[in-house]
Amino acid sequence: MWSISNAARLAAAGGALALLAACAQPKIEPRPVCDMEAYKQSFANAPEGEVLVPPVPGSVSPMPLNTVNVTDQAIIQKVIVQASNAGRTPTGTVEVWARLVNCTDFPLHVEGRTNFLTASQAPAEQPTAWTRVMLPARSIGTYSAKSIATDQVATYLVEIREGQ
Amino acid sequence: MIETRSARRLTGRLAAAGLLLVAAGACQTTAQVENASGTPTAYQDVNSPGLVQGVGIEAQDIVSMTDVMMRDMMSNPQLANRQPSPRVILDSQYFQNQSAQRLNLNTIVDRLRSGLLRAANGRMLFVSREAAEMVEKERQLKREGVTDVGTTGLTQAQAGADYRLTGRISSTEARRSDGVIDRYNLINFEMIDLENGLIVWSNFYEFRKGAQDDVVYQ
Repeated sequence: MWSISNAARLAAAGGALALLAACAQPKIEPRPVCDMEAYKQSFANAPEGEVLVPPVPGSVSPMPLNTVNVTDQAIIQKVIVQASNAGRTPTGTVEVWARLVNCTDFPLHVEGRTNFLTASQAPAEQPTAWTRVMLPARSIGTYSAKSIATDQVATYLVEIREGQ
Repeated sequence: MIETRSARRLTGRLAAAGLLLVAAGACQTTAQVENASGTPTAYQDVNSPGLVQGVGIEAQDIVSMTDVMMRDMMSNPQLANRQPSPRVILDSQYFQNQSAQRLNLNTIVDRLRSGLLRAANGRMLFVSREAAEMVEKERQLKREGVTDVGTTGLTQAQAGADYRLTGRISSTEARRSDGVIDRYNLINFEMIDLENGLIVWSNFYEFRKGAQDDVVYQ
Protein backbone atom coordinates (compact mmCIF):
# COMPACT_ATOMS: atom_id res chain seq x y z
CA MET A 1 0.00 0.00 0.00
CA TRP A 2 1.50 3.31 -1.15
CA SER A 3 1.35 6.26 1.14
CA ILE A 4 2.02 9.90 0.37
CA SER A 5 5.06 9.93 2.68
CA ASN A 6 6.57 6.96 0.75
CA ALA A 7 6.14 8.71 -2.54
CA ALA A 8 7.74 11.87 -1.14
CA ARG A 9 10.70 9.86 0.15
CA LEU A 10 11.16 8.20 -3.21
CA ALA A 11 10.99 11.52 -5.03
CA ALA A 12 13.55 13.03 -2.66
CA ALA A 13 15.85 10.05 -3.15
CA GLY A 14 15.46 10.33 -6.94
CA GLY A 15 16.25 14.03 -6.79
CA ALA A 16 19.37 13.40 -4.70
CA LEU A 17 20.52 10.73 -7.16
CA ALA A 18 20.02 13.08 -10.08
CA LEU A 19 22.04 15.74 -8.29
CA LEU A 20 24.82 13.27 -7.59
CA ALA A 21 24.86 12.16 -11.20
CA ALA A 22 25.04 15.77 -12.31
CA CYS A 23 28.02 16.35 -9.99
CA ALA A 24 29.77 13.18 -11.09
CA GLN A 25 29.50 13.87 -14.85
CA PRO A 26 29.99 17.54 -15.61
CA LYS A 27 28.77 18.46 -19.06
CA ILE A 28 31.63 18.89 -21.48
CA GLU A 29 30.95 21.15 -24.39
CA PRO A 30 32.89 20.60 -27.59
CA ARG A 31 35.27 23.39 -28.46
CA PRO A 32 35.14 26.17 -29.43
CA VAL A 33 33.09 27.40 -26.49
CA CYS A 34 32.09 31.00 -27.11
CA ASP A 35 31.47 33.60 -24.46
CA MET A 36 29.36 36.26 -26.10
CA GLU A 37 29.47 38.51 -23.04
CA ALA A 38 33.27 38.59 -23.05
CA TYR A 39 33.17 39.14 -26.83
CA LYS A 40 30.84 42.09 -26.35
CA GLN A 41 33.11 43.49 -23.64
CA SER A 42 36.09 43.26 -25.97
CA PHE A 43 34.49 45.90 -28.21
CA ALA A 44 34.22 48.32 -25.31
CA ASN A 45 37.82 47.64 -24.26
CA ALA A 46 39.26 47.76 -27.78
CA PRO A 47 42.03 50.30 -28.27
CA GLU A 48 40.87 53.36 -30.14
CA GLY A 49 41.91 53.43 -33.76
CA GLU A 50 40.75 55.00 -36.96
CA VAL A 51 37.00 55.27 -37.27
CA LEU A 52 34.57 56.29 -39.97
CA VAL A 53 33.05 59.49 -38.66
CA PRO A 54 29.65 60.69 -39.89
CA PRO A 55 29.38 64.24 -41.23
CA VAL A 56 26.63 64.97 -38.70
CA PRO A 57 28.14 64.28 -35.26
CA GLY A 58 26.26 61.60 -33.37
CA SER A 59 24.04 60.59 -36.31
CA VAL A 60 25.81 57.25 -36.77
CA SER A 61 28.03 55.58 -34.20
CA PRO A 62 31.67 55.76 -35.29
CA MET A 63 32.63 52.65 -37.25
CA PRO A 64 36.11 51.36 -36.41
CA LEU A 65 38.23 50.84 -39.51
CA ASN A 66 40.49 47.86 -40.19
CA THR A 67 37.93 45.69 -38.45
CA VAL A 68 35.38 43.02 -39.27
CA ASN A 69 31.76 43.82 -38.47
CA VAL A 70 29.00 41.28 -38.22
CA THR A 71 26.23 43.47 -39.58
CA ASP A 72 23.41 40.93 -39.53
CA GLN A 73 21.22 40.57 -36.44
CA ALA A 74 20.49 36.97 -37.46
CA ILE A 75 24.05 35.79 -36.79
CA ILE A 76 25.46 38.36 -34.40
CA GLN A 77 25.01 35.98 -31.43
CA LYS A 78 26.19 32.97 -33.40
CA VAL A 79 29.44 33.98 -35.07
CA ILE A 80 32.59 35.43 -33.51
CA VAL A 81 35.40 37.09 -35.41
CA GLN A 82 38.40 35.37 -33.87
CA ALA A 83 41.13 37.23 -35.78
CA SER A 84 41.63 39.44 -38.79
CA ASN A 85 44.51 41.09 -40.56
CA ALA A 86 45.63 42.49 -43.88
CA GLY A 87 48.78 42.59 -45.92
CA ARG A 88 50.16 43.60 -49.30
CA THR A 89 50.39 41.09 -52.15
CA PRO A 90 53.45 41.03 -54.47
CA THR A 91 51.65 43.37 -56.86
CA GLY A 92 50.84 45.93 -54.18
CA THR A 93 47.15 45.11 -53.78
CA VAL A 94 45.81 44.49 -50.28
CA GLU A 95 44.60 41.11 -49.05
CA VAL A 96 42.31 41.03 -46.03
CA TRP A 97 41.39 37.93 -44.10
CA ALA A 98 39.13 37.21 -41.16
CA ARG A 99 38.85 34.00 -39.17
CA LEU A 100 35.25 33.33 -38.15
CA VAL A 101 34.03 30.93 -35.48
CA ASN A 102 30.66 29.23 -35.68
CA CYS A 103 29.65 29.00 -32.01
CA THR A 104 26.51 26.97 -32.70
CA ASP A 105 25.86 23.26 -33.05
CA PHE A 106 24.49 23.84 -36.54
CA PRO A 107 26.13 24.55 -39.87
CA LEU A 108 26.04 28.22 -40.81
CA HIS A 109 26.36 29.93 -44.12
CA VAL A 110 27.73 33.47 -44.02
CA GLU A 111 28.85 36.00 -46.62
CA GLY A 112 31.44 38.73 -46.40
CA ARG A 113 32.45 41.75 -48.40
CA THR A 114 35.16 44.35 -48.01
CA ASN A 115 35.22 48.09 -48.50
CA PHE A 116 38.72 49.30 -49.29
CA LEU A 117 39.20 52.95 -48.39
CA THR A 118 41.78 55.62 -49.02
CA ALA A 119 43.58 57.55 -46.28
CA SER A 120 40.88 60.21 -46.52
CA GLN A 121 38.22 57.49 -46.01
CA ALA A 122 36.97 57.78 -49.58
CA PRO A 123 36.26 54.49 -51.38
CA ALA A 124 39.42 53.31 -53.14
CA GLU A 125 37.26 51.08 -55.36
CA GLN A 126 33.88 49.37 -55.48
CA PRO A 127 33.18 47.07 -52.52
CA THR A 128 33.97 43.44 -53.28
CA ALA A 129 31.12 41.11 -54.20
CA TRP A 130 29.65 39.07 -51.34
CA THR A 131 31.74 35.95 -50.88
CA ARG A 132 30.29 32.85 -49.29
CA VAL A 133 31.92 31.07 -46.36
CA MET A 134 30.50 27.78 -45.12
CA LEU A 135 30.94 27.21 -41.41
CA PRO A 136 30.18 23.68 -40.21
CA ALA A 137 28.97 23.34 -36.60
CA ARG A 138 31.53 24.49 -34.00
CA SER A 139 34.16 25.15 -36.60
CA ILE A 140 36.26 27.98 -37.96
CA GLY A 141 36.30 29.34 -41.48
CA THR A 142 38.29 32.04 -43.19
CA TYR A 143 36.95 34.87 -45.28
CA SER A 144 39.43 36.66 -47.51
CA ALA A 145 39.31 39.35 -50.17
CA LYS A 146 41.79 41.20 -52.33
CA SER A 147 41.73 44.78 -53.47
CA ILE A 148 42.20 45.97 -57.02
CA ALA A 149 43.77 49.28 -56.10
CA THR A 150 47.32 49.32 -54.77
CA ASP A 151 48.84 52.35 -53.05
CA GLN A 152 45.51 54.13 -52.69
CA VAL A 153 44.22 51.54 -50.20
CA ALA A 154 44.92 52.68 -46.64
CA THR A 155 42.14 51.10 -44.58
CA TYR A 156 39.40 48.54 -44.91
CA LEU A 157 36.08 47.59 -43.42
CA VAL A 158 34.71 44.04 -43.67
CA GLU A 159 30.99 43.31 -43.38
CA ILE A 160 29.64 39.86 -42.54
CA ARG A 161 26.01 38.84 -43.05
CA GLU A 162 24.05 35.61 -43.04
CA GLY A 163 24.21 33.78 -46.37
CA GLN A 164 21.36 34.43 -48.77
CA MET B 1 -46.31 51.67 -42.32
CA ILE B 2 -47.03 53.13 -45.75
CA GLU B 3 -43.50 54.36 -45.93
CA THR B 4 -42.19 50.86 -45.14
CA ARG B 5 -44.28 49.28 -47.91
CA SER B 6 -43.16 51.84 -50.47
CA ALA B 7 -39.58 51.35 -49.35
CA ARG B 8 -39.91 47.56 -49.86
CA ARG B 9 -41.39 48.15 -53.31
CA LEU B 10 -38.53 50.46 -54.19
CA THR B 11 -35.95 47.93 -52.95
CA GLY B 12 -37.58 45.19 -55.00
CA ARG B 13 -37.53 47.33 -58.14
CA LEU B 14 -33.93 48.28 -57.60
CA ALA B 15 -32.94 44.63 -57.15
CA ALA B 16 -34.72 43.69 -60.35
CA ALA B 17 -33.05 46.50 -62.23
CA GLY B 18 -29.69 45.40 -60.85
CA LEU B 19 -30.26 41.82 -62.01
CA LEU B 20 -31.16 43.05 -65.48
CA LEU B 21 -27.98 45.10 -65.64
CA VAL B 22 -25.89 42.11 -64.54
CA ALA B 23 -27.55 39.93 -67.18
CA ALA B 24 -26.93 42.57 -69.81
CA GLY B 25 -23.32 42.80 -68.73
CA ALA B 26 -22.91 39.02 -69.04
CA CYS B 27 -24.27 39.10 -72.58
CA GLN B 28 -22.00 41.94 -73.62
CA THR B 29 -19.31 40.69 -76.03
CA THR B 30 -16.98 43.72 -76.03
CA ALA B 31 -13.87 43.09 -73.88
CA GLN B 32 -13.51 45.53 -71.06
CA VAL B 33 -10.21 47.16 -70.15
CA GLU B 34 -9.09 46.13 -66.71
CA ASN B 35 -7.87 49.52 -65.78
CA ALA B 36 -5.63 48.50 -62.91
CA SER B 37 -1.88 48.46 -62.37
CA GLY B 38 -0.01 45.21 -62.97
CA THR B 39 2.74 43.68 -60.93
CA PRO B 40 5.45 46.31 -60.88
CA THR B 41 8.87 45.40 -62.17
CA ALA B 42 11.21 45.22 -59.26
CA TYR B 43 14.91 45.87 -59.62
CA GLN B 44 16.91 43.34 -57.69
CA ASP B 45 20.37 43.41 -56.24
CA VAL B 46 22.77 41.61 -58.58
CA ASN B 47 24.83 40.57 -55.55
CA SER B 48 22.03 38.65 -53.86
CA PRO B 49 19.66 35.85 -54.87
CA GLY B 50 16.59 37.08 -56.74
CA LEU B 51 12.94 36.09 -56.82
CA VAL B 52 13.62 32.93 -58.81
CA GLN B 53 16.21 30.58 -57.42
CA GLY B 54 17.35 27.26 -58.73
CA VAL B 55 20.37 25.03 -58.50
CA GLY B 56 22.30 26.59 -61.38
CA ILE B 57 24.62 29.54 -61.93
CA GLU B 58 22.75 32.76 -61.21
CA ALA B 59 23.46 36.50 -61.27
CA GLN B 60 24.99 36.60 -57.80
CA ASP B 61 27.29 33.70 -58.72
CA ILE B 62 28.47 35.43 -61.90
CA VAL B 63 29.11 38.70 -60.04
CA SER B 64 30.89 36.93 -57.22
CA MET B 65 33.04 34.64 -59.38
CA THR B 66 34.15 37.37 -61.80
CA ASP B 67 34.93 39.69 -58.89
CA VAL B 68 37.07 37.06 -57.17
CA MET B 69 38.88 36.12 -60.42
CA MET B 70 39.54 39.74 -61.34
CA ARG B 71 41.02 40.52 -57.91
CA ASP B 72 43.08 37.34 -57.94
CA MET B 73 44.54 38.12 -61.38
CA MET B 74 45.43 41.64 -60.23
CA SER B 75 47.39 40.12 -57.35
CA ASN B 76 49.38 37.79 -59.60
CA PRO B 77 52.84 39.29 -60.34
CA GLN B 78 53.15 37.51 -63.68
CA LEU B 79 49.96 39.12 -64.93
CA ALA B 80 49.76 42.45 -63.17
CA ASN B 81 53.29 43.47 -62.33
CA ARG B 82 55.23 42.88 -65.51
CA GLN B 83 57.11 45.37 -67.65
CA PRO B 84 56.10 45.72 -70.40
CA SER B 85 52.48 45.01 -69.53
CA PRO B 86 51.32 41.62 -70.81
CA ARG B 87 48.80 41.43 -73.64
CA VAL B 88 45.83 39.23 -72.92
CA ILE B 89 42.98 37.81 -75.00
CA LEU B 90 39.91 37.38 -72.86
CA ASP B 91 36.84 36.12 -74.69
CA SER B 92 34.59 33.08 -74.66
CA GLN B 93 36.25 31.32 -77.64
CA TYR B 94 37.98 28.76 -75.42
CA PHE B 95 35.65 28.96 -72.47
CA GLN B 96 33.40 25.92 -72.55
CA ASN B 97 30.15 25.09 -70.87
CA GLN B 98 30.03 21.36 -70.15
CA SER B 99 27.51 21.67 -67.35
CA ALA B 100 23.88 20.61 -67.26
CA GLN B 101 22.76 24.23 -67.43
CA ARG B 102 22.13 26.38 -70.45
CA LEU B 103 24.20 29.53 -70.01
CA ASN B 104 25.42 32.45 -72.09
CA LEU B 105 29.17 32.31 -71.46
CA ASN B 106 29.60 35.92 -72.51
CA THR B 107 27.91 37.08 -69.30
CA ILE B 108 30.88 35.67 -67.39
CA VAL B 109 33.66 36.56 -69.80
CA ASP B 110 32.39 40.06 -70.64
CA ARG B 111 32.05 41.01 -66.99
CA LEU B 112 35.49 39.64 -66.26
CA ARG B 113 37.12 41.48 -69.18
CA SER B 114 35.41 44.81 -68.50
CA GLY B 115 36.21 44.62 -64.80
CA LEU B 116 39.81 43.68 -65.45
CA LEU B 117 40.27 46.33 -68.10
CA ARG B 118 39.09 49.04 -65.71
CA ALA B 119 41.01 47.61 -62.77
CA ALA B 120 44.26 47.00 -64.62
CA ASN B 121 44.52 50.58 -65.83
CA GLY B 122 47.37 49.71 -68.16
CA ARG B 123 48.94 46.99 -66.01
CA MET B 124 47.45 44.47 -68.45
CA LEU B 125 46.54 45.18 -72.07
CA PHE B 126 43.65 43.44 -73.78
CA VAL B 127 43.66 42.28 -77.37
CA SER B 128 40.32 41.74 -79.09
CA ARG B 129 40.26 38.75 -81.41
CA GLU B 130 36.51 39.12 -81.82
CA ALA B 131 37.17 42.44 -83.54
CA ALA B 132 40.06 41.15 -85.69
CA GLU B 133 38.02 41.07 -88.92
CA MET B 134 36.63 44.54 -88.33
CA VAL B 135 40.10 45.88 -87.62
CA GLU B 136 41.52 44.21 -90.73
CA LYS B 137 38.91 45.85 -92.98
CA GLU B 138 39.72 49.26 -91.54
CA ARG B 139 43.45 48.66 -91.96
CA GLN B 140 42.90 47.88 -95.64
CA LEU B 141 40.88 51.05 -96.18
CA LYS B 142 43.71 53.07 -94.65
CA ARG B 143 46.37 51.38 -96.74
CA GLU B 144 44.39 51.69 -99.97
CA GLY B 145 44.04 55.40 -99.34
CA VAL B 146 40.27 55.25 -99.12
CA THR B 147 40.60 56.78 -95.66
CA ASP B 148 43.45 58.65 -94.05
CA VAL B 149 45.57 57.00 -91.37
CA GLY B 150 43.72 58.46 -88.40
CA THR B 151 45.64 60.00 -85.54
CA THR B 152 47.35 57.03 -83.88
CA GLY B 153 49.44 56.03 -86.89
CA LEU B 154 49.97 52.71 -88.64
CA THR B 155 51.34 49.49 -87.19
CA GLN B 156 52.95 46.63 -89.06
CA ALA B 157 50.32 44.20 -87.88
CA GLN B 158 47.53 43.74 -85.39
CA ALA B 159 48.67 43.24 -81.79
CA GLY B 160 49.90 39.80 -80.83
CA ALA B 161 48.97 38.40 -77.44
CA ASP B 162 50.96 36.80 -74.62
CA TYR B 163 48.15 35.07 -72.75
CA ARG B 164 44.64 33.82 -73.41
CA LEU B 165 41.86 32.86 -71.05
CA THR B 166 40.53 29.34 -71.20
CA GLY B 167 38.05 27.74 -68.87
CA ARG B 168 35.39 25.19 -68.33
CA ILE B 169 32.11 24.95 -66.50
CA SER B 170 31.26 21.45 -65.36
CA SER B 171 28.61 20.01 -63.09
CA THR B 172 27.46 16.81 -61.48
CA GLU B 173 23.91 16.23 -60.44
CA ALA B 174 21.98 13.92 -58.16
CA ARG B 175 18.21 13.72 -58.56
CA ARG B 176 15.69 12.06 -56.28
CA SER B 177 12.41 10.61 -57.51
CA ASP B 178 10.44 13.32 -55.70
CA GLY B 179 12.13 16.04 -57.74
CA VAL B 180 14.83 17.15 -55.31
CA ILE B 181 17.99 18.06 -57.17
CA ASP B 182 21.49 18.43 -55.79
CA ARG B 183 23.95 20.01 -58.20
CA TYR B 184 27.65 20.74 -57.83
CA ASN B 185 29.03 23.38 -60.18
CA LEU B 186 32.70 23.96 -60.88
CA ILE B 187 33.87 26.91 -62.94
CA ASN B 188 37.57 26.72 -63.72
CA PHE B 189 39.61 29.57 -65.16
CA GLU B 190 43.11 29.33 -66.65
CA MET B 191 45.45 31.77 -68.31
CA ILE B 192 47.61 30.13 -70.97
CA ASP B 193 50.94 31.40 -72.28
CA LEU B 194 50.37 31.61 -76.05
CA GLU B 195 54.00 30.84 -76.87
CA ASN B 196 54.88 27.86 -74.69
CA GLY B 197 51.49 26.67 -73.47
CA LEU B 198 52.26 27.09 -69.78
CA ILE B 199 49.38 27.81 -67.43
CA VAL B 200 50.47 31.03 -65.74
CA TRP B 201 47.41 31.50 -63.55
CA SER B 202 44.44 29.42 -62.53
CA ASN B 203 41.57 29.68 -60.09
CA PHE B 204 38.16 28.12 -59.66
CA TYR B 205 34.78 28.92 -58.23
CA GLU B 206 32.59 26.14 -56.92
CA PHE B 207 29.26 25.78 -55.22
CA ARG B 208 26.65 23.16 -54.47
CA LYS B 209 22.93 23.81 -54.35
CA GLY B 210 19.93 21.69 -53.54
CA ALA B 211 16.32 22.46 -54.33
CA GLN B 212 12.94 20.80 -54.54
CA ASP B 213 12.27 21.90 -58.08
CA ASP B 214 14.60 23.01 -60.79
CA VAL B 215 14.01 26.25 -62.66
CA VAL B 216 14.50 26.77 -66.37
CA TYR B 217 17.60 28.80 -67.23
CA GLN B 218 17.65 30.56 -70.57
